[in-house]
Amino acid sequence: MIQLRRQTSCSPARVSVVLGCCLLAFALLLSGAVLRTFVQSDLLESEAVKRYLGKSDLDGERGRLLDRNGRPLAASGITYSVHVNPRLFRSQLTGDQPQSEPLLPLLANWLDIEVAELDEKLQRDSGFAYLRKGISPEQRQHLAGLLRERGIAHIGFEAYHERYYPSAQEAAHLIGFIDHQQTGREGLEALLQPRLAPQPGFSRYIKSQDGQAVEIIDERSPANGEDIWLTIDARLQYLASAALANIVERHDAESASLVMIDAYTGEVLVMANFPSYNPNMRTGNPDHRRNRVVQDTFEPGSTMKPIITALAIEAGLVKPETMLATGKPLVIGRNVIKDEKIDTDISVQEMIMRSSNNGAGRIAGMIDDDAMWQGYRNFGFGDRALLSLPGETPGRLRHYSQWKPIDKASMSWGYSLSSNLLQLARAYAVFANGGRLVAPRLVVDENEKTPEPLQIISPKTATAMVQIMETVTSDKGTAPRARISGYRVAGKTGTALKWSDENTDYSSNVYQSMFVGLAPASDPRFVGAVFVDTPRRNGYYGGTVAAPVFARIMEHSLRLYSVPPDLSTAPDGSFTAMVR
Amino acid sequence: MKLLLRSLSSIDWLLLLPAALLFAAGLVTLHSAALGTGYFDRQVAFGIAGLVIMLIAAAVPWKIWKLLALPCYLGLLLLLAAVLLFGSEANNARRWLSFGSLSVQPSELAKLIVPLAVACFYSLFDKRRLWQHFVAALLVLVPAALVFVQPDLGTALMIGAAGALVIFFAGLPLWFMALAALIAASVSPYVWNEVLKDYQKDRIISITDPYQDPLGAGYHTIQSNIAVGSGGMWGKGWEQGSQSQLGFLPERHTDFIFAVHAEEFGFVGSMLLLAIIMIVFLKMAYMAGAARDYAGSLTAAGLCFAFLLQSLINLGMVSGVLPVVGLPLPMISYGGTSLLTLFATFGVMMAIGFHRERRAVL
Repeated sequence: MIQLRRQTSCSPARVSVVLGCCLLAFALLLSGAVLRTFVQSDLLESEAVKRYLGKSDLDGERGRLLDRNGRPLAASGITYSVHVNPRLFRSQLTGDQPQSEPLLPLLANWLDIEVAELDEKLQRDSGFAYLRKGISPEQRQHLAGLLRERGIAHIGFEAYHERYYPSAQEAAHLIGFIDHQQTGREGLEALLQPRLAPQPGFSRYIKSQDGQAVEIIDERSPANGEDIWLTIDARLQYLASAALANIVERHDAESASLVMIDAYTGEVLVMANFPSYNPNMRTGNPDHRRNRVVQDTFEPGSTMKPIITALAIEAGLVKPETMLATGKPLVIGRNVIKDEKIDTDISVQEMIMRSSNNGAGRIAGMIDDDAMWQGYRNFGFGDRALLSLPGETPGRLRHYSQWKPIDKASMSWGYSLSSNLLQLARAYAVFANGGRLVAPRLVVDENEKTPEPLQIISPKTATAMVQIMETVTSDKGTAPRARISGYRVAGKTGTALKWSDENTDYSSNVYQSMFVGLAPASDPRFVGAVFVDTPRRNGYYGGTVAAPVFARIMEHSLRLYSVPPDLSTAPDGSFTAMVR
Repeated sequence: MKLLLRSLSSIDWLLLLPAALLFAAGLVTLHSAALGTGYFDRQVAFGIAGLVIMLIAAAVPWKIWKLLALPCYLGLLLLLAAVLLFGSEANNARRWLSFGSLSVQPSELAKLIVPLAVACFYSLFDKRRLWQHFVAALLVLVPAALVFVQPDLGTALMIGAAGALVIFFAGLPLWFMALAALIAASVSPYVWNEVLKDYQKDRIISITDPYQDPLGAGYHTIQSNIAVGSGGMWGKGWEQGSQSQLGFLPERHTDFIFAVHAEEFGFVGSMLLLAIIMIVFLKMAYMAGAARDYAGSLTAAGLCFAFLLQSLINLGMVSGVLPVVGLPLPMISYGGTSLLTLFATFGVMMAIGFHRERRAVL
């Protein structure tokens, strides 16, 4: 009886209920697992991969820019930055370092920063702060040694590539600079970015949770950027920038620029401007960063007279000895043109020598509008950029259909059209190399096929023009100061009233002085052009302001490149032409 | 000699074999999860000790066990109280009692002793009265509360659940349960606001959207989710799991060991492990049903469902379905006390199964 009353087992119904619940839960769990495995596995797997796969970029070195003799104008090197984990750094101080106080000045001294600045950074509530940048590998090693010696932890180094410009101000405008993303922003750094830029490599590795690389699974080593040889001669570049600085100070000018090209190859040996800036720092007036040689356009003034003359001679309209009726004023509409110091008829040659507007205007009168326009265009004036440098601005040459009668005359003496200094130098190279229009080049590239330069005037006309322009540097010409001892020099001065955008008129006493010349006159090798903006003191004529700088740099060029002299200097200082 | 014979004859091989298989499978995964640590060797040692304890527990006749229930229960309360007073603190919780180099987690013992004690309590009475349920609830709640204040929410819930199962099986009236559910629902806001600690709330919230705080409360869930999911069909191979081997997976040798298993052995490996767990459970459930004695049947039922429930909660936690409460996966996770208790549980189960009530021969 007792047995019957006693339950021998717990309630089977209740056990079934719980069992059912458990099995249901189990089924739910199972379906979750199925979902994970067959539906979300890709997603979750990629999540897993994201967590354990690390990737770091490996930087190559940016290519160097070298001058024509291999001297670096821009180069990259490894530098280090120093950083700290302020939180951990402080914790090590509060711990077992009893003498934490004298550490600060010591550290500041090692890092060469202010104690207050260091203290501020170390007090930050963050896990990272830069202490300073620009530590050389040697300094880094030294500093790391000191830190290890003292047992100071949580200060680290980070390597990065830094760009150096050894030529600093001298070639700043031409070379340009790169931004913090290692992309060229100005000058050749920007133009040649694709070739200079390194191909970054990468390293893919398995990492543990604390970020340690455990195993490298894929790696591509970086490729360095290409070293590029420029046509620039750093020695001349240096001399030119010094001379320009000098001339700006001497004449209290706004700016000065100089470009020198090889008459036959079009290679640019010098492209310099003042004022300049230090591309290693890049502080100061952004206006000083303009490469005025190619970015500024101006009215070339009298330096256009040889161009119109060459066109007339080439067309057979005049000869160098043809007399021009400069005795009386040139009247075009209501405009009366006469030269201040010339009241007699002069020859074409004399017109160039003494820079007569009257005479130039009369020559322009002989040429058809379309022929003159085409001729100027043949000489490279107008709106074609030559080097594709950032900010390069070609001058303007209006189509002859828009010319007013006076425009044609004023264009003969270089107003009513504009040009940059490189365009002007290139036009003069036509006279120097026997009548061909070369393409200016900045980069030495053996593979590049340069198209044969276009013959735009006959060698005969070119030679005649050089002879005519040689008289400019004679005692009776406008630029005796362009002479170089030992060499015959041909060229042309220019002095133009500066157009003021503010007043929409020419300023009455603000000038732009230029000189474009070539040497040696017997067999020209180099063409140089100098432009000085707004000389305020000590004269303003091109022959006074610009010609001496030209002479100085041209002389150095000729001697550095061992160009044979074509003039012997007599003991009394007078020159005698050498028969060659 | 007699004892040895008795213990050998009391062994239920059909329970021992799947349990040993489960333990062995756990060792394989633990070897991978605890590479470079001493956990594997210690777990093996605990396993051997556990087998001995199981044999002893199985050899002790069920009659004796019933008598031992009360002393065991009182001893448990003492130990739990001692933990609160002298326990060693780790992670802001006192869960361990240290005896030299050996530390014991008494809350694990409760998972065996509480169902045993409650079941034996019920077996004292032939007829159910409501007060019995209150006393039984008290028997459950006191140790659970002592564990809860350690604090160890997961284990406290587990003890509560194991006890509640026994009470339920013992015939708790349905209307009473409905009332309790009503009361529970009404006090749950208070529990949420006043009782649960912030980290516990975060864990519960983070289940709905672990990515809200991926480096904080959601971290365990996300990492384990990724580990389980990225294993795919066949897994990444033994000791090849990226999540576990590279240190992304937290608690990988204890609570989250299933994630390691799933990552390295994939869907198939996980299913095999679940199958073994189910076999152990079903065998225990069968033993509960076959028990010849009320207390034994009740104890066995409580123990076997507690075993399954803890497995399910752990798996749910690892796969991101349930909040992260610190519950190890039985027989798989590293943990000495837990393992010894489980072996002891199997021993007690065998003792219940071996027990034959002498029937009155009329």
